[in-house]
Amino acid sequence: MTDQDVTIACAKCGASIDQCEFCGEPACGAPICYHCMTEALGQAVAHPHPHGG
Amino acid sequence: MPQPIDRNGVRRLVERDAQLVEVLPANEYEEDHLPGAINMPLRKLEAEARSALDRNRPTIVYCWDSA
Amino acid sequence: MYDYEDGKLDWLAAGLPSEGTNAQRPRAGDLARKDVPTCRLDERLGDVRDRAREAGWEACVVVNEDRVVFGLLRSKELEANPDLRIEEAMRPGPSTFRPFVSIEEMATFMIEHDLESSPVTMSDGRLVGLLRKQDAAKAALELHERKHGSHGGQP
Repeated sequence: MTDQDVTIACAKCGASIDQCEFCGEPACGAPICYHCMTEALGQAVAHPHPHGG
Repeated sequence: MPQPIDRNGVRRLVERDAQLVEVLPANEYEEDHLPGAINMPLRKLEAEARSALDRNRPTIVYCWDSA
Repeated sequence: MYDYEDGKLDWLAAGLPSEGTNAQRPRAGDLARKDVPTCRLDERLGDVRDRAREAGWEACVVVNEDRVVFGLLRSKELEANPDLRIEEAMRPGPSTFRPFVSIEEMATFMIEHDLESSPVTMSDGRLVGLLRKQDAAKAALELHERKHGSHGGQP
């Protein structure tokens, strides 16, 4: 068996990640990337409502 | 040209009776706004500012973020 | 005329009070426990563990002199070799959450991920408190029951 970096996929967007950004575990049942997590929790810097100004 | 201020500046001015104006649309204002802020969506700001704001008090406008 | 350029997001991320429909819903910052024990990087794990347990906690947040979060010690980390320095024993760089995140969202995530606790911090990384899964879940359930009516007493 060789040592290899394990990557998992974000359950929302499929992006490759090393660990779930919410719980910090590599073998989490519902891994999520940082971007999807901040959007889901409403912590995203991007404006939550689309508007023109 | 409005003078930029930070969070601490807002708190200091509010203590000195500044009026806060959120320029986001009404539905966003209703969800969350700074305590005591009134809502004047950007497109109405020019038309309503004269009647709604007290010229003798400093006015602080704000949006969602700096973007 | 002044322009608060950093805007509402900056204000909320700093954990400052707000008004509006969202303000009436419980948020992470409201329920985060401010009395969570804290410790420094260079302390001895055994000493910190004893101090935390005496205060009735199975967790401790690692901070610097400005209360900026560096790491977390949950029950698993507290069980390690007591002679370790905190820097060696802690879980570094834990995910932290802003005070304005809704408690319903946090509860859902914490249950889904079986996360015991999460630090709640301001936008500059300073500790607001530690949100425990049981507190988040209880608050979310109470909110749900208020919205939809409780189902207690049914056969």
